[in-house]
Order: sequence, then C-alpha cells, then structure tokens
Amino acid sequence: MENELVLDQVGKTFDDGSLVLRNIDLRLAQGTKLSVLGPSGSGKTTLLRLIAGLEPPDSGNIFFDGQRINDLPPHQRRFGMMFQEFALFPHMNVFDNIGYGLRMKGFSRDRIELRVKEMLVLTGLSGFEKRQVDALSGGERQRVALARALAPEPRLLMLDEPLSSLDRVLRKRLLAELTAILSRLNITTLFVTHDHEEAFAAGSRVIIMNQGSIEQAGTPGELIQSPKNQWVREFLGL
Amino acid sequence: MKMKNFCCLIGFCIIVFGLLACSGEKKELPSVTLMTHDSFSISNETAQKFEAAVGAKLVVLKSGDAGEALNKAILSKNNPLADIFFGVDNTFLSRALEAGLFVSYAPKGLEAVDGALKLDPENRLIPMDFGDVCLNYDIQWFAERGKRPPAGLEDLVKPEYKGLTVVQNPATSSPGLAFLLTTIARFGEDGYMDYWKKLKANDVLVTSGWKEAYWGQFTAASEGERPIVVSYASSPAAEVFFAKTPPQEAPTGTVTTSGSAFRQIEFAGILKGAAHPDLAERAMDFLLSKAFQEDIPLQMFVFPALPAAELPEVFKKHARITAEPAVLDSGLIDRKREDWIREWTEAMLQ
Amino acid sequence: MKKRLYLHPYALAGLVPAGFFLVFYVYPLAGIGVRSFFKNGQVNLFFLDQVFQSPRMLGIIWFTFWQAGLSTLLTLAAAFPCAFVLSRYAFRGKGLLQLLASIPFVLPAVVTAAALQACFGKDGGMFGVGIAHPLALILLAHVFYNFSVMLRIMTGFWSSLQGRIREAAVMLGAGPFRVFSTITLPLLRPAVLAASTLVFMFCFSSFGIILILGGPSFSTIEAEIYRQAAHLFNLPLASFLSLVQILFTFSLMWVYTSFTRRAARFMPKAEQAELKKPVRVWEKLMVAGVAVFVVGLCTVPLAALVVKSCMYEGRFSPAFYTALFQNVSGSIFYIPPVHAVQYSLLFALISLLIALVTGTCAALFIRFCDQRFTPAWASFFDPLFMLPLSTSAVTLGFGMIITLDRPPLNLRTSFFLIPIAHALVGFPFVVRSILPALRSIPQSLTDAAAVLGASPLKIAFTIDLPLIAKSLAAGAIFAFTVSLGEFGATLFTARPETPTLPVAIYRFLGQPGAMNHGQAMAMSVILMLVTALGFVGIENFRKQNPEGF
Repeated sequence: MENELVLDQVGKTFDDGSLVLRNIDLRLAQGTKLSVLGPSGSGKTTLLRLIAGLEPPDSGNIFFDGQRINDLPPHQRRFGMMFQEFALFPHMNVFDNIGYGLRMKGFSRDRIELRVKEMLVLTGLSGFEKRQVDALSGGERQRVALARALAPEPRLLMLDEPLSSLDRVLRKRLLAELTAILSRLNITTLFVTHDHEEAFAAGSRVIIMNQGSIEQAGTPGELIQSPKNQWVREFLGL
Repeated sequence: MKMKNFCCLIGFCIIVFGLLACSGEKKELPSVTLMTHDSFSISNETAQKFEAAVGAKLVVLKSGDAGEALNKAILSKNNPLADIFFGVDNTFLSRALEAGLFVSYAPKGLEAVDGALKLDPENRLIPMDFGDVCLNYDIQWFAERGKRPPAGLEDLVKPEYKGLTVVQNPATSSPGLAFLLTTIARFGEDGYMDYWKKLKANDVLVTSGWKEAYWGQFTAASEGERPIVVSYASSPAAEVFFAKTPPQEAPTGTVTTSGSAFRQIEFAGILKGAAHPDLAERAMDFLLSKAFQEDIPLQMFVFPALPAAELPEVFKKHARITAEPAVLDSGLIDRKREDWIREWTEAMLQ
Repeated sequence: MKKRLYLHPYALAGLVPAGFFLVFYVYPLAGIGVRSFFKNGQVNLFFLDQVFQSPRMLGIIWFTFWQAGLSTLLTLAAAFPCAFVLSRYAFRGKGLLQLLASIPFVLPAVVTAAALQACFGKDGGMFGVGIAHPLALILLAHVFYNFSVMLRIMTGFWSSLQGRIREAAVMLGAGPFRVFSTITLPLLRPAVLAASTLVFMFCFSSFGIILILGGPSFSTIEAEIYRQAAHLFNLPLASFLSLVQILFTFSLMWVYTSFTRRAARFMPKAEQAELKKPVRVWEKLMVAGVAVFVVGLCTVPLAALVVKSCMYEGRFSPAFYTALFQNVSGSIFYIPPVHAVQYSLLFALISLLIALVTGTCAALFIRFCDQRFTPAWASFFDPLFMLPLSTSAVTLGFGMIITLDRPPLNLRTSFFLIPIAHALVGFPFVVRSILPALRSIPQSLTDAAAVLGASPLKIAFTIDLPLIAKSLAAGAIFAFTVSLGEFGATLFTARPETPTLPVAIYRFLGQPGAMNHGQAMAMSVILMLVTALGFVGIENFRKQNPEGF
C-alpha cells in the first residue's frame, strides 16, 4: 500500500544485553494517527528513533512504501520529527528554523519564503519571522517546532512527547490546537506520550507499550472497554 | 574517600617536611658574601686561606654574566644582596660608579699596584686582575684543513672565514663588550657598523656569555663548530694547563697584533649597605694579597693586578699580553657605550 | 539594616583581598607607570622614540603578535579533530587519554622548554633528529603547552552541544556535512573563538619558553621587558613595554570573557551527551589516530626528558640526580640544587596559605555582593580579581622590585617576597575554584541556619566553608602548583641564596656542558612529577566545571 509503514519483528538491545524492544510488529496505513502510550522506560522513544533512522534496529526490518529502509540514513528518509525539548536551532531566528528543511531540499528563496509563511499562518505565528528563538515562550516554541517539522512535507511525522515540557494548562490548550492542525493533514502521525488522556485525544489508534513489547493495540474505545490484562487496566487507571 | 584524601595529605606533608629537614649545615661562622659573575673561580685551598685570614666563611653568589650581575646589584642597591661585588670591568665602570653602589676603601697592598690600573681615584673600585680580550683560534682545526688562521680583525669578514666565528653579546658579556670596543677603536665610530654587518653576513654566531661561547661553541674546548672565538690572550695557557698531557706548544693561538686586543681590567668593591662591612674590609685585603692574587691565573686565566704575585710556569710560557692594546678614550666610552650597545643590538639581533 | 550589612563578616572579608591587591598589584604597577613616564620628577618621553623608531623594537612587537597567531592556528588545527573524537565517542581508555592530554598545561614553562630540548635539541635529541631552528621549537612548545587548554574547552562545549539539535537537523534532511557546516560550526564558533583568544593570550605573554628556546635573537615583548631591565638596565623602556603588554593582555582577556558569555548563551542547558562507540572502520581509525596523536604529542617530549635525565654518557645512571645533592664546583659555590627543591616547596606552601586566605575572602566577598548587596558590584569585582592572570608575570616581578624597595614597604630582603608574588599569580585560580561552589549553595540553607540562630560568622564556618571544602582543596592545590612552576616573576624577585626550581633549571640550562644540562633535566623531571601529582589531586577534587579552564 502506498506510504504504508511496516515494522516486521523489529528488536533492539542495549549495550549490556538487556532488550529495549522485542519483536515489534506494526502496520500503519497512510494517514493513520497512532498514539504510542507507555510508562518511561517502555521503549517508546526508542521505537520512534528506530523509525526515524537515528538508530539502527538489531533485528527485524522496517519498510516504508514497499521499500526496506533499515539502511537508509535518516536525512534521506523524508520523515519529520518533533523533539521533546523542541531542539530549535538557537543561532537562527524563527524564519530560518522553519525554512531549514526546505534549504536542505534546495528550494529557491522565493519558494522557501512562500512555504514558511504558509507554516506560520498554519501554526498561528504570523509576524514571528524575525524573532530570536530564546525570546519565545514555551508554547510559541512548540509551534515553531511543529512548523519546522511540517514545512518540508514529510511522508511521516513523529512527535516525541511534544507537550511534556509545558505546564498543565498550556498542555491542554496546545493539544487541542495540535490535533486540529494534524487532523487536516493526511500524514501518518506517531504521537508518543506517557499520558493516556493525551494519547486518546491525539490518536485514532493507540498502542500501549510495556518493557519493550506492545501490550495492547486498538482504538481508544476498545482499550477502555476491554483492557487486555491487569497491567493495562492499572496503567489506564480503570 | 575522605580517609584516602586525608592520608594523601599527611603523606605529602611528610615528604615535604622531610626534604626541608635535610637542608644544609647551619653556619656557625659568620660569613662574607661575594657577589660575582658566572666566570668567577677560586680554588679550595685559597678559599680555606680566606677563611683563616678573614675569620669568616666565604659565600660566593654567582649571578649571571657580568652585565646581568652588575644590573642585579644596581637593582637591589637599597638592599644589597652581598658584601662585596667582584667583577666590574673597565667598560662598565661608569655605570657601576654612577649607581653609587660602592664604599671607598683602600686595601693593604694597593700602593703596589700599577697606577695605570687604578681607574677610580676614590678607591671605590679596586683593580683585581687584567687580561687582554682578543680573538683565539684553534690551531689544529686550521692545520687539518690547510687553511690560514686569521691574522687580524679584517680576516673575519672574508669568505674563507664564513661561519667560523663566535662572539658574545656586548650587552651581557664583558669580553663581548670589549671586543665591540676593539672594533670601534679599529674602524672608528662611523665604520664599525659596516664591519659588523659584514660579520653578520658572514654568519657569525652570538652567544650571551663567555662560557657559552668558549665551553659551548669553540672547537678546541667543546663539541662546537666554531674555531674562532673572542676570549682572552691568556686562554692558551688554560688550554695547556687543562690538557691531559700538556703539549709543548699551546693548541690555540691569539690575534694580538696592533690594536686587535682590548685591555680589560676587573675591579671589586665593598657594597654600600653591606651586612658585614668590617669583614668585607678584611676580605678586600685578602683579595689583594699574594695568596688570592697568585690563585687568579690558574682559576680565571687572567693576570693578577698585584705585581708581586708569582706567575705559574704555564702562564709565563703560553699566556700573552699585548704591547699595543686597542685604545679608546674612557670618557668617550662612558658617554657612548649605551648608544653603541643599542646600535649593535639593532643591527645584530634582529 | 544597612549598618548591619556593612559589618557583615563577608563584607569585611573583602578588605583582605583588597588590601593585598592594592599593595602588591596596584602599587607596583603604578611604580612602573611612574618609571616609564617620569624621570627625576619630570615627564620624560624620549624613550618613546626608542620604541617607535627602532626597527628592532617594532619587529619584536610584530613578532610577538605573529608567533602567537601562528601558534594559535597550529594548536587549533591539532585540537579540533581531537575534540571532535572526544566529544562524540566513548571508548576504552578515554579517561586516561583525557588526563594525559591535560598534563602539558600544568607543566611549568621551564619543564616544557627542557623537555622539548631533550626531545629535539641540537645535540641529536631523542630520535637523532634535531630541530635546529629556534622558531620551530618555540611554535612546537606553544602547541604542546596550549593543546590541552584548547582541547578541554572545545570538548566541553562540543559535547554539551545538544545532540537533539543535530538530530533535528538530520531529520530535516541535512546530510552529515551539512549538519556540520550549518549547525555544528556556527554553534561552536563562540567556543572556538573563546579558546583561541585564550591561547593567543598565553602565547602572547609566553616568557620562559621564548627565553630558553629562543636564544638571543628571538624576543617577544615579555622577554624584552626582562632583557631591557636585567641586562641592558634600561628601566624606562622596560616599564613602557610592560604597560604596552598589560594593555594588550587586558584587551584579550576582555574579549575572551565576552566570547565565553556568548558561547554559554548558545548552550543553555549543558546536556550530558550520548556518546557512542566507534563502530565503522573509519570511526575506529579516527579514534585510534587521535589517541596516537595525543599520546605522541603529550607524552613523548616528557618521556624524552625522563630518559635523557637518566642517561649519562650513553648508559643508564642516576648520575645527574645524585649530582643534585652534591656541590660539584666547590664547597662554596652554588647553593646545592637540592636546596632549590626545598625552597620551591617551602615557598609553594607559604604562597598556598596566602592565596587560600586571600582567595577565600575574595570569593566570600563576591558572594556577599551577589546575595545581600548589588549584583553589579559582584560583576565588577569578579573580573577585577582576575587581573593578575592577564598581567605579565615579568611585569609583576619587575614592579615589585622597583617599588617594594624602601620603607615602609621594604620587602626586598624579605623571605616573603617570592611567596607573595606567587600568591598574587595563584589567587585568581583559588577564586575561580571556590566561587562556583559557593554560588551553588542554595540560599535556603543559609536562611535555615540563620533562623536556627547562627550569626553570619558562624554560618561562614559551619555551613559555607565545610560545603565548599572540596573546592577549597582544589584551589589550594592549584595555588601550590602555580607557585612551584612560576618563573617570570621569580626570575626578578629571587635572591641568589633562595633559588627556586624553575630559576635553578633556567640557570643550569644556560650553562654549557653535559653535566649541567643533565642536572637541569633531572630537576625538570622532579618538578614535572610534583606538578603532575598536584594536578591529579586537583582533578580528584573538582568535577565538571565548564566555566573554568
């Protein structure tokens, strides 16, 4: 299927031999909004990094759009990623941050300017072009990070706990904005979080991870109504 | 962790104090301190005679080459580092006297010294020894290569003598300064710079002090590569003396023909503000006595100022003294010495 | 309330360093200024001709600049690839490698000079290959000496360059080269500039190395100050050159601090970088290459020094070491070299105490300004107390001997003049070690103690000082090692009957003859061992301190 992400028995081990990911199988059609839920240490961030190509899997295969991408370097995968602490480039202003991916693609200045303006409007940051990154508030930074990740039209978008560095009130508001923006775009999205409320709000499908394996997968409704085991039940607070 | 650090600290303190404890003997005798340059030398027996005569231990402070030592003395004149300074020569005389470093004292035996040597009528500085600064060359080196040894200053700038000479920096070395004055006497104030520029083009080596030049670069006395050095007319005697089997003829020769040697006289004086002035006076008496004066030739290889001092055989045979030293008016030297040194430094040490 | 502020013990503590500073730093410098510009009570500027019309003087000033510049570039070239490897990869023996790489910096200049002479000296050196040209030796010595500083600063900044930022760039499509050129380099730039400025300053004011390895024809401003004063006795010129030197080093120090502030801005959170193991072949080759290079650069000259000090006439023998305890030239000449060891240690201990007391008081005072007073004062005094670092040691010594010569401050004969000079150079290091620790004590602790009934003095002794004990120890060892290796100021202020090791090494190196050279090398090895030990001690006591050197 077009732009389908497939993980086939993917595993990863730490240097000391302990397993981080065990035999993960996953199949995502284009446009799926997946939430990856789990406690810290469950391997969800590692899963993201493997898909992104920042680390190689120790076993198994990853396919995208029918192509095996295990050995494809991350900068050629054309995936987008939003990091936990946003990782904005401190030596560039908002405009240059957002336009970075486009620069890498070799777009002309005009094209870049057009696209960046588009992104600014999308994320509600019109007028912020020249602002310095360290002068932005937490919420503004999150939006720049999102705009930056979306600007080069990635085939897949990964969000690694994008709201965890913000306070509670902001988190709720930004989650709503984030999901609104993402729902308008037909990109496969992987949203990693440890907060099940966020997970259920952000994704139409949810996988719960525990100690490197997928404990249960399904829609939010399925998970709430029929938790597979005691652990899931406790984790979801049911 | 804390215990380990504590033990380290204790161990360290023990080592430090242990080292400090094995310091030298405490001196029971009073001492007289003699500040001088690095080329000063005295034999053990004479040092013992010193102690007997003066009633105090002799402490010698070698303080660098002649210029450096004198400057140190001047810089510390409010708090002298010693009782006596030995090693002002006639070229630095005015600097020493102007600085007001010395106290007037006429030691016993001064009357016997030749008037030509007594350059300070006020007896603040007393002549101790003299020698002629001139070029020395390694006879064997030249013989082996079938080359002619230099006969005069002019030879040094000739192409066949390229890279063969080592001289000393006149700012820091008194034979160095003496040689510079020789060239001024020979070529005049207007011509000497040309000579030096030619010397530089001819690859002359400049060292800071006499020791470094003679014992470090001169082929006859070291592993160096220069067979011509500025030294004393009495140095050949030293070569004979220190040879394993004393040869008949001296292995080094000197260039002492008309006006190519400079008479250098060395002085000593009691420093103003010395800690032990009375001991210093007795020490000055000893320095001008036969005992010390006769020790000078074989220790420092210059001629004693006291006429009554007996010269050793090797000196009588091999040490030269020139009949016609280069002459420069001492008033002129006083006035222009610093300028000349500065000009020389400009041209040679760039 | 204000009255109580002024009587706060920390405020009073400030009087100690202030007094120390005024008497032993400002007064001698003023003396130099007076000497430069006044003669017999009248303004006298004729020597300015001597400087600006003399090609040699101008040449010396120019040489000082370009040799410092070239040395800095070479050091940068050497340190950059090594910093890259050290900040990215984790491998076995890395800690040892980093320790080795840091040793050259703590070595006294004389030891460095002796080591390089032993390794590449005219008489064949270690490998039979001698470097005849003094300039090459000088540059090499500078690279050897400053490599550790640059490596340390750059590795520190490079590894705290947030890994996430790099990854973000990669996700946005930047290949490795573009990540390097668009992200890494621009972010590193302030750090590189800061490190380069510091190294430039060190090379600019390099003294011992120029004096020993350069010979009479190579002179920098610093070496010329010494020569003019000690040999040519041209005090006004020496004083003027000192002022020129101070002017330049102050500016460089100011530039350096502004670069470090900018660098810190780009790295708001120092993140513990994730280091990976070298996996691919080229990675392993690079790591191995860097390891070989660092070991080669940092240990080979020292090894040459040790080896040569143990070889007498072609055979292994402790001859040079035993000669140190004897008095070969006769019973009345030369203080036996072992005395130089003793005096060095004694001076170092005294100077440590002085620096410790003064430095602690200064740090406490700055802390007081931070907390109770206006922070503006803190940011004024902080760099002020750093001044001795950027003033040439030769100038300090020179200033001391021309001003501290008369009553009421007639310290010329005093045994304490040298330790004081050393303490002046060492106490900025003490402040730099203690201040960050003091600043990291939460205000809440002091408040709790105050509420429980402790007076400010009691708080100082029962809370603050015990909490910074480790940093105190580090600062003490710093002051100790600085004193041991101090050369420039000591050359001026030392009296012949109380020599120190560096001065003794210098004198012995200047004398021709294998025995003299050998003894100089033996003493250098001793000095090297003691400073290295002290350094290991410092490293033990202080952890990551990105602010310092």
